[in-house]
Amino acid sequence: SGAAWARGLLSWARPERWLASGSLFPLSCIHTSTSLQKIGKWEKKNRIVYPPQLPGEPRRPAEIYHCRREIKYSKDKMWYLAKLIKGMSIDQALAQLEFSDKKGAKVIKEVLLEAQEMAVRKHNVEFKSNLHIAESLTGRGRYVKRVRCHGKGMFGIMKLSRCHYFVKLVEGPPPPPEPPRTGFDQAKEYVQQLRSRTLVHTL
Amino acid sequence: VLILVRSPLPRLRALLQRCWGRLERGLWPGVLRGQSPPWGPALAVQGAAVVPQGIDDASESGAEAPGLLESVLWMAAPKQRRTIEVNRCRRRHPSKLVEVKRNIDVCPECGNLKQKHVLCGYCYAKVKEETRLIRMEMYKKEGGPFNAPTVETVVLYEGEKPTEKDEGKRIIERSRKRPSWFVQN
Repeated sequence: SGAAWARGLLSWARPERWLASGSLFPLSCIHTSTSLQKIGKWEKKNRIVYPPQLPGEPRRPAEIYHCRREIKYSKDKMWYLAKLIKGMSIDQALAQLEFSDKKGAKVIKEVLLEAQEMAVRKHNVEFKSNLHIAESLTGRGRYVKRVRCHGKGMFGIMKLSRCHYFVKLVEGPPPPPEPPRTGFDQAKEYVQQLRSRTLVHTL
Repeated sequence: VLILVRSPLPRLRALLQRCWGRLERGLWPGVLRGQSPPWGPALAVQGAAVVPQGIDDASESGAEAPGLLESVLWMAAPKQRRTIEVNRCRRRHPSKLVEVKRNIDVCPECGNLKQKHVLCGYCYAKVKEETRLIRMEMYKKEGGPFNAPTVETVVLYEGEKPTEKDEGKRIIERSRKRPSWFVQN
């Protein structure tokens, strides 16, 4: 496993770049060695490199993708916590998770702190508080079936579920919450739909 | 009309036969086959001679069999599969979502977060650790269980002398500077 690790390291030392502008792919992009099993899509999102911005363009906010795989928790239960922190600033999210009684709250807090650390060290984020959670998702991990003993020699099969947790931090203050849709808005949309009707298949 | 299915697997067939036997024994043989049950000569009793309690017993024992039939065949079961849209409406209802807590503040002593009605976790852990060390000193002084003295205890840190108020009290020495939160006397 030491040799595999060294090989993996050497393969990463090659310029591994996904050119976002879609120009010629240099040959060094081809990944020939097999590194640690399979690198998930979410982890690869951190590798994209944008071309340098022109002087007049508005500054592109930094995006940090982080995830944790195979957490011993149910994805449905984890989803409630992911829904709680969606759209919050990172400080508020950490505060909410610290005082939540759920098991997944501790895990998500660790993931957020790791992501914050990564942002400051590697992704050129100036202030660690100036981050907000743009996306937070859960995914299904690998399930394992086990025997659960009942009385009278009967047994049931229980499934031990695991989940993944994905988070995307974006630099900047959190966006203002959307105002709730009123009846007036719905009526306006309906009228707009009626007005935009045209005749089809005619002269 | 009940239809018997002969399954090819011998074990399943045996299981089905056992279940059938159990069901028949609970009722009377022949009722589930659709044929008439074995009729024997019944006792002819005069109406007036029958005791009302007997009627109640007969009705109770008689009602057991149709009760079993009803309970076996009319159990609550879902009729249709709940669609994912219906499931989502139930699982994502606002009452099931985790509420945002609004009672989180900053501790003025250490700066960590704390809930308004709860002691700060960091300060509590700090005090707990110091108390544990003081208790270890007390244990060393006492030497064993059930040796607690009947006088008060005073904890003195480095560079502190017992005052005249501390006369007659047990003195515990701690070899460190007095923490700022542990106010003297």
